[in-house]
Amino acid sequence: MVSAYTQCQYSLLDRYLFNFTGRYDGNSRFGKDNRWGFFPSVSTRWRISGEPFLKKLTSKWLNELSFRASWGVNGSEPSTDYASVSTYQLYSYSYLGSTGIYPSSLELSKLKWERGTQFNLGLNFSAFDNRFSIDAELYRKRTNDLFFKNLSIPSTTGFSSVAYMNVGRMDNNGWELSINMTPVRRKDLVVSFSMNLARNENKIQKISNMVSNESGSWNSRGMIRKWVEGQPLGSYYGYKSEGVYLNDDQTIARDASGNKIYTYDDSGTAQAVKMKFGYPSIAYEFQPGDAKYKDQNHDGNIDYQDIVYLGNANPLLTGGFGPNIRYKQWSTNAYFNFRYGNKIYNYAKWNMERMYGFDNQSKATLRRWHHSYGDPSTAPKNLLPRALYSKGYNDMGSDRYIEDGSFLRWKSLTIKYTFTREQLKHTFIQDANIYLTLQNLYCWTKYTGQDPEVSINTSPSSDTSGYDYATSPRSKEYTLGISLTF
Amino acid sequence: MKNFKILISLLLLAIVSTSCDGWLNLTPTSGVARNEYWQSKEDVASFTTGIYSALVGDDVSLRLILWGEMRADMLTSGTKNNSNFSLIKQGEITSYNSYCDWGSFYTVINNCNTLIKYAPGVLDIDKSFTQSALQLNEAQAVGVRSLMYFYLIRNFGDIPYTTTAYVDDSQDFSIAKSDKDSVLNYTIRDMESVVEELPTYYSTSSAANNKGKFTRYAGYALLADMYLWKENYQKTVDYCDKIISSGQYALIPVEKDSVDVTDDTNGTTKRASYATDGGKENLFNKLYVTGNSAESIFELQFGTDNTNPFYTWFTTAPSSYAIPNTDFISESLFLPSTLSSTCKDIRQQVCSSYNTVWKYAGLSLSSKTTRTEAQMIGNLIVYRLAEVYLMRAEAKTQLAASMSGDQQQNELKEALKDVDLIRDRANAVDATDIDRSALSVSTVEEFILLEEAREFAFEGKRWYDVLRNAKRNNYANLKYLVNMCVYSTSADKVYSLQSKYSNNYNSHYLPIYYDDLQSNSLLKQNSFYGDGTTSTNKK
Repeated sequence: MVSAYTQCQYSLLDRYLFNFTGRYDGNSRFGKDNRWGFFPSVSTRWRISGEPFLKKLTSKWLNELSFRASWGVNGSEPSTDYASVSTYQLYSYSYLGSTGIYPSSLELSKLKWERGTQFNLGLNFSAFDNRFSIDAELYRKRTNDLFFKNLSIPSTTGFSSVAYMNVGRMDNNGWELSINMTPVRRKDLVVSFSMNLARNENKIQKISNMVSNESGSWNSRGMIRKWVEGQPLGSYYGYKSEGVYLNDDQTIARDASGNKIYTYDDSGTAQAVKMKFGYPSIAYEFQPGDAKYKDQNHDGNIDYQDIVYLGNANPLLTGGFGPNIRYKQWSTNAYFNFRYGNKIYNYAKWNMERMYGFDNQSKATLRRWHHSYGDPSTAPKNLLPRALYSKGYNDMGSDRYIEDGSFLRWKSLTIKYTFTREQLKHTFIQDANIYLTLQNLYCWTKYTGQDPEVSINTSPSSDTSGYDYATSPRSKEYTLGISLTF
Repeated sequence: MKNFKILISLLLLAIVSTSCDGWLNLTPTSGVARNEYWQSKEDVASFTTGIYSALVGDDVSLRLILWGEMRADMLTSGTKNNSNFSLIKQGEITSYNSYCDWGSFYTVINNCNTLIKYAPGVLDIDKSFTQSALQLNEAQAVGVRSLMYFYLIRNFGDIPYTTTAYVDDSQDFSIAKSDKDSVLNYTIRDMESVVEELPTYYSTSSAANNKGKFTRYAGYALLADMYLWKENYQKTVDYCDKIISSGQYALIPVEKDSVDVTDDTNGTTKRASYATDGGKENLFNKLYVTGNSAESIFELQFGTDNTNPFYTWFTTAPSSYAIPNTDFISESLFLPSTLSSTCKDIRQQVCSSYNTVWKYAGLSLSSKTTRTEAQMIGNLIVYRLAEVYLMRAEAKTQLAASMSGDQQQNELKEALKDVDLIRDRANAVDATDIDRSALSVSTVEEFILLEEAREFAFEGKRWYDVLRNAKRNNYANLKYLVNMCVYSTSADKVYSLQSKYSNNYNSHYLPIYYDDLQSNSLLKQNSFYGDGTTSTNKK
């Protein structure tokens, strides 16, 4: 990699600041034609509070009011070295005593820099002797020539994927707000409170038609993810779950008014039509005990037409807040963080209730359907479907596994006692304090899984955002410490 | 001073960008970049070896057998969990089933196309690379490519057909399907244009070289098979004649002995023959253990550095993925002799012993020991002489259909001569024979179909034999496919599978794998499986 970089800064009257940087990069990971890229950025800040006309009116209570704006481009390169070269490799085995050679990849001669353009607008407000301040920020990051790693390409090319390809344009927009206030500030007692809120959205504006906008389908087991150009990513799609078929009568197809559907056989007698999955290509006839999915169009057939939108993995709001209190030598600090409005796919629950293969299952499977219930009202609530080995369609993606992931977590509490110089003057210690920190104290949430704080990483190449794999649980930590200065 | 500084920095910028471009050209440390390959005749030969190596890769070699057996009646699920195989056996095939992935076949096709694109360029660079050597390599590439396309057509119906090599990302990757009859015609045309350039042998000393590489006779066998699928029977007979009359191949003989059997009702004595243990062992060993026998025409070579993929499929029975379907094998295929219990069709023991698919799992007929994983080096027979005889018999039977009277009877008898060669060698029993006094095209056709099942059990032929006979003359004999359902799936799914096969002939082919539908905007799913959801984002 070869780079050249330049930066200029200009300040006028301590109120107007400008900054410009530019970089010119060449990288060996790209082909000859696309190797070099130029990435400039410019930023500016206007301290409105320094303006004479404002100073006259507000100098008594306004400390700072400035307005910031910046615009910049930066580039990303692929993380594999020889993506732009088509490498021929040897087979690890021989054929009739000779070793064969094959092309292991396509030459990516058209691969170029992924350019991210970020535009920021910010506001800083501080007043009442800095006892009240607000920081607000609005950003839009647009990524052009977006990289897609290991993009699946048609296998008719002889290759199943390419390491990298520039596929389109993605926008990442959002805002952040941070508020700080110090209602009490006296010699012995300081009480302050801070809060921050944020919201972020990823949207695909334009994408190559080789990138699939769908992962999973009506007949693949597990959740379906789909996204639409111009809409935020992270949506879930699937069937609406209605429990299980309790008895044979319930497996008969019903029309929109709830009447049973009949057909006539060759001799003219009426025969009830049973609910089917995937007619005609699969045509599995549902049996009592099988999972019941809502037949949205009342055609007696559970298929792609019964797939509906189930929710989105992105939160409407995330943030945190906490008080900070200092009284004489004691200080205490608490922090809470929260997420609101996102849906989680409880993947761990799906995996442990599927009963499809040999994997260990959870105790929930003890309340699965075992026998028909002639009177549906006698059946227990929340029955799981019957156990089937490598058969049936009881584990399709449905709202049975989608849950509200909103939570409020008491993240930390710190209590500290600071020794005064007076108390320490007979010792060789200059400063000392002792503290107790507790982390991950409690989480308030309606989510039934292990931890609602799952990773949300929406991008077109990640279809597992918002999945809860329930790997290592979060630990509660207690730290008792002492800090000394000699 | 400030201006001078700016000037210097701009100058440095310019120097940096122009001189460093060459320094940024890196070549890979393991392997060779394509623009440094294709320099010598050894490069071309290694690439051709690579094409065969791709054929014996796990994905391709598994599908060469599995695609011909998984929907048919001879294999059933073992106790080892393979949900994709179980779903296929139940007739519930979705585009998410990994056995519908044709990617490995198209990799072989692309490698063939790449060789055809770049090998001619070597003529100018390496003077020791001759025109005939070029044609030899190109012909092998076309031969292997044609074989791949023939398998794809028979399994998927309409498929994308391409002779373009895909080498970089400036090419358009999306490609639409072509109609299956057109692809078959292109493939036949491709094969006929190179078959005479293929050598009749590659080595005078090594049988492996003559069976493991694509010879002219392998080309004839493929052409005969393709013309039979196309329902052009005279061409099939012509190509089969060429192979048989070459004298290069011979059926492995089986030593026999005979015993006198007295019929108690009328006191007559008949001689009933049976195969000796040594004779059976010799056949099993030559065909399935040692391999590269005199009967084999094209056989994919496996070895200790590349074992075949059938260990978990067949060898660890009953906890293997698949076991023989003894219901079909004992009830319909192999019947006990009416003469004597010592008379047996040797093929019953050869194909299925100890409830295991013995052709891949066993080392000999006399010992119960199955192969260990390291011993899975048995070769995969693609074509052998027995199939040429039965193809010729099938073609002659169909030619007889357009004849009548004595001429038809003679043609049918001619066809049966080829069948009898196979039956005699295997010591087939009278119970599986047809009434020779009342021959008709349909009885002989069905007889040959069953004989093919007996001879090529588990060799990846059964599904194609049934489908070929069923679709003949616009599905005049759909019954072959529908009747097979009784044994090919579990009892509760028989009716549903029969309805699928009868109501929509597109159900006879596999769906296209979802990954290809999602990345290829021009590719449409087979309409029987097509349900409007996958393959979105089409512009």
